[in-house]
Amino acid sequence: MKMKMRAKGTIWHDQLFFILLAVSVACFGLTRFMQVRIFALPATVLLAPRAAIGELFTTMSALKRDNARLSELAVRQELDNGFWRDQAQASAHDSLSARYRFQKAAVVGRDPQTLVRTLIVDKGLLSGVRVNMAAITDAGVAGKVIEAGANLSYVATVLNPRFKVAAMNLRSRVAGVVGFREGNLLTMDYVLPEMDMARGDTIITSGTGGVFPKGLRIGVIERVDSAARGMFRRVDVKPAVNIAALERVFLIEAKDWDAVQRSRDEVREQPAPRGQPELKQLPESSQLERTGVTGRGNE
Amino acid sequence: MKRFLVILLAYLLAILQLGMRAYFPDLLLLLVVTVAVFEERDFAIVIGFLAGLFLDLGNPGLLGANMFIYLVIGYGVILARRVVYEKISYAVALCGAALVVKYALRYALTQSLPAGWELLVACGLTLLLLWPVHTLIKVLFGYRWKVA
Repeated sequence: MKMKMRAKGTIWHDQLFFILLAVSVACFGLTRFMQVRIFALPATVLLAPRAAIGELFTTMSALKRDNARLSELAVRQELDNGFWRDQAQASAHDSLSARYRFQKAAVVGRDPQTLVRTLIVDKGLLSGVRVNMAAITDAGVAGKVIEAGANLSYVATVLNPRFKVAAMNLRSRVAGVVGFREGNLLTMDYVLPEMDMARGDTIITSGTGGVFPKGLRIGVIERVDSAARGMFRRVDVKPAVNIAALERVFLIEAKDWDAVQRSRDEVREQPAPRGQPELKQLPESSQLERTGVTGRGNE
Repeated sequence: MKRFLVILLAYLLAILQLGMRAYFPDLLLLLVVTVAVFEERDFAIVIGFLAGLFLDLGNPGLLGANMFIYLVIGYGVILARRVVYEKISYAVALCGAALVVKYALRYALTQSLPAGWELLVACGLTLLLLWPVHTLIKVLFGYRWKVA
């Protein structure tokens, strides 16, 4: 009986095996179209977790990649921010309003010969005006104070033969010294023939010397000689400021000018290193201030 | 319940295997062999069939091929399990034979095989993992040796 039961079970197992074998062979024999039609839904359902897990891993790796990229970007941004913050602080520190003292003054008189070489303004020593303060307008450089009284000051304009200012070409950065030439024209001196200067270039202050801040407009190049006269080239500059129509100016002075003067005095008092001339031999700046030919005054 | 868990494990292993390269060890084969050794014949046949079906659903072009292969292997192990009962070390030989059958059938049915080194690595890893997986499944499902 037991043997019979076992034999019956074995036959059943064999039948099951052959049925399933037939199913698998039938599936294998199906066309691709039929396979897809029959098994598309079960495949989708049964493989959904796999797709989800795959998507999860893909998303995770994409997120990791993005995270790494964004972290790097954030660090770079922070560095950039720091840089720009420093720049902003530096520029705030270096801004005119921070570094220079402003004094608004109205033009109350002019020199009687040409009307444009010297101006008289209504602010003087009592208002804090000092010799060598720069006179500027919104258009650019107007001149500088050459003499200061109690309530009035004399301003040598850019059209004054005594006026000189260190300048540079805004485009090519070629440096030189701008001074009066003739009529309503300025000239830029010490420009070598091979230097890049062109008509229409803007000339700005170079900022050396401490009187004029860097970047103020002086004028526009009117004419450039192609041939050099002697060592240098002639460059005519048309002033940016219309001196003849000037009604008011801003007199500005570097706030730290006194500190600069003090440090200069300290240097003078120290003994000179061996083999170098004594600085005391240099003329006092106060003697030259009125003449306007000191290094500072000649800017 | 135990059988349901075995089917679930087969399903999970099939999903795992579908995402792997060809040199990945055939854990599904190990499951089929172990179940065929310990379980009743009908369920062992069904597990072989289902294991192949799960794999085939992930490879629409091969629909039926893996069903056939794992079914034949499962049935073959059922027939040969008396040998495994007599000496457990024969299980390795049985599994090796199953691998040979698998790749032979696969080649016969699909005319394609993994690259030589991938095939060797897959077979080697499968044989290496035979005993740990076999033991793990035994412990997980509480299988005991018994005479069929």
